[in-house]
Amino acid sequence: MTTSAPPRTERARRWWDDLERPERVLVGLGVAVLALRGLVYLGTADGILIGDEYYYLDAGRAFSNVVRDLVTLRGPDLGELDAAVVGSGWFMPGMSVVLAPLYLVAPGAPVPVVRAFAMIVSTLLLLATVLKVRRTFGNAPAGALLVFPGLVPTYAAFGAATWGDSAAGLVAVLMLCHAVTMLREVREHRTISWRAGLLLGLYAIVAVYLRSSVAVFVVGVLGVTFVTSLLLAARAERIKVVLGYVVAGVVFVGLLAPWSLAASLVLDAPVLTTVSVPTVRANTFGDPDAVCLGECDLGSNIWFSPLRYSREHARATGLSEVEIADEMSAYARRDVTATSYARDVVDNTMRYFSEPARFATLLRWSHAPYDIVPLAEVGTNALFYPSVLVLVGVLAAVARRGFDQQLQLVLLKVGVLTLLVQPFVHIAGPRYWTTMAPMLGLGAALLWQLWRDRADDVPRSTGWVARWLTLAQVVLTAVAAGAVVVIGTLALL
Amino acid sequence: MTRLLPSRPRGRAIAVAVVVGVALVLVSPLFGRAAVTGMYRPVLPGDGLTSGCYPLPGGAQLDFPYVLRSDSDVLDAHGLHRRVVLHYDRVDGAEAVARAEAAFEAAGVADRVGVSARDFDVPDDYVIRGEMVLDLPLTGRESDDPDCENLFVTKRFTPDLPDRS
Repeated sequence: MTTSAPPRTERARRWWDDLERPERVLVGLGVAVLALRGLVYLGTADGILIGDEYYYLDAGRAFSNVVRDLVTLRGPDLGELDAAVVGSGWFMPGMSVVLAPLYLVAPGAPVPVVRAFAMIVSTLLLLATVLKVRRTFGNAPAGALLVFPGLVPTYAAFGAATWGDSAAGLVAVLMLCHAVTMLREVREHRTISWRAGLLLGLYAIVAVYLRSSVAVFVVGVLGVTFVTSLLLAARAERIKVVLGYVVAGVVFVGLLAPWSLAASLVLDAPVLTTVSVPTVRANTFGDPDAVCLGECDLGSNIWFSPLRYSREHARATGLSEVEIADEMSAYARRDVTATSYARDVVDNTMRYFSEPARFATLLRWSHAPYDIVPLAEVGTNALFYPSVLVLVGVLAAVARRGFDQQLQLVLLKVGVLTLLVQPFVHIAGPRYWTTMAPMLGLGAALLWQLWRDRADDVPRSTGWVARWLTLAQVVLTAVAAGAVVVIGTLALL
Repeated sequence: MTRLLPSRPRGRAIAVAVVVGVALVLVSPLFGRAAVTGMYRPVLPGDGLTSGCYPLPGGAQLDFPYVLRSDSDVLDAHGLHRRVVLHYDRVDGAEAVARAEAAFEAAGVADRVGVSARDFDVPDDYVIRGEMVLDLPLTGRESDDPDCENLFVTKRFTPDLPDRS
């Protein structure tokens, strides 16, 4: 008698039976994340677009049109690209590239379809990140990531939205995992492969294309891993380490260049990533009644009114609107003092951390079969505020033992600190925490491991690398504490 | 570490995805173009003084770079008149006033207009240099162009507009 292949259910059962308990927990958490995302999707499905989403969708449409033009051997519509993709130079176009395949197939895709597509892509990215974290750090950190931010309802709602913040945070974690894997290999083999450098640069540029605010993070991680690699590599291999990072840099710059060049040409001014910072700083720290060298026009908001003013002057003088925006910003900020700046930073920080569920209200579909806002409020607050404690813990903790734990803590400190630069330069809002959230999930697992191992009889790590990693932790903790003390004192003056 | 995902079909799945992707790209022009809304980069509204909606008296044209800031009808002890505020670029207040007066002179309306200017407290290399106020006789709308309904062209703002700044 011939045996046929076991039926699907039988194979699934065998797969489940082979799993260890932690893995079953992971699968269970994964299913819970999927269920939550399904539930949240129905609650946001037919919502309207919010603010910057109009840009991301429009640029996605324009990208799909470029592909159509190329397939039919026509020249691309440059006017459309200039206006829809470069636009005012406010955003990186990464999310639009993600949306382009949808518009390629369904050029008139309505908002619910866009939200469904975004939800599927963001869920796949989240699960891919969880798997990568599991391979790099093990089951516990992967599980932590599934809980926070995976089970946060508002984070799930962002999954159906088209801002790049949450996706950039996940790619940042992928980069962090890759950096750790790479340094482990350097530690083991005392050398580095150029492929590792290439991948590091690739993760970095993808993250920046999704959201330019992670550029500081990317630079921080590259800096820390470069120094650590140099210390870990054999003396004769150091040139190879340098070359590995040159490859990373070339990949990063090479892939950023097309955007920078296009944006610079269209806006007639040097553009590296985005040019929203002058107006942002004017609005955040300057005199709101002086942004347009006086009050801006009534009837539109704090972004479009100054933009129109700068474009009008650009038209009148033949100069670049970016140059005018810089001038407007400097004028609006002429009376900024250390104390006024510190107070604005405190306000921004409060805005960063208050109302983490705010966007669930904005994104909800008013005719949904159920209202997701109560679920979002309770679920988000219950998970978000403990994660703020994790943030403080990550910044305060210093690991003295174990290369892995030391390295991971240094990278998480760099991650959290560089992402917290946001309230120092930008009006903060309840959207930005989603970039940092996955790092806090990792941080929670790491703090738990440090706590678990505190009584272990493992000697402190010694040697140059351990000393450097300890020094880096202490310096980063001191920077965080110093910033809090200085800003706090100035704000109270 | 146990694999949570089966590894064997991965290669096949990628191959299928690539084939489907290429096929979709090739047939995509058949579905039509995606209509870009342009909402986040609107077309820049025209300049209100030269658009013909509410021109300067006598058809005077200012020959220095400026941006119209507001255009309103005001009532004071001398009755109703038109008050136009603009920001001038690249020139200082004295020169802007001289050039504006020359323009009104050439248009033959110099005796009916008042021109004043105030330089901003900015470094000399600034592009935007100051604010000019033109005191003018009342003007009605002189064009049927639908642009004349656009407040960002005419800058004839009304106080009921939301100030969302």
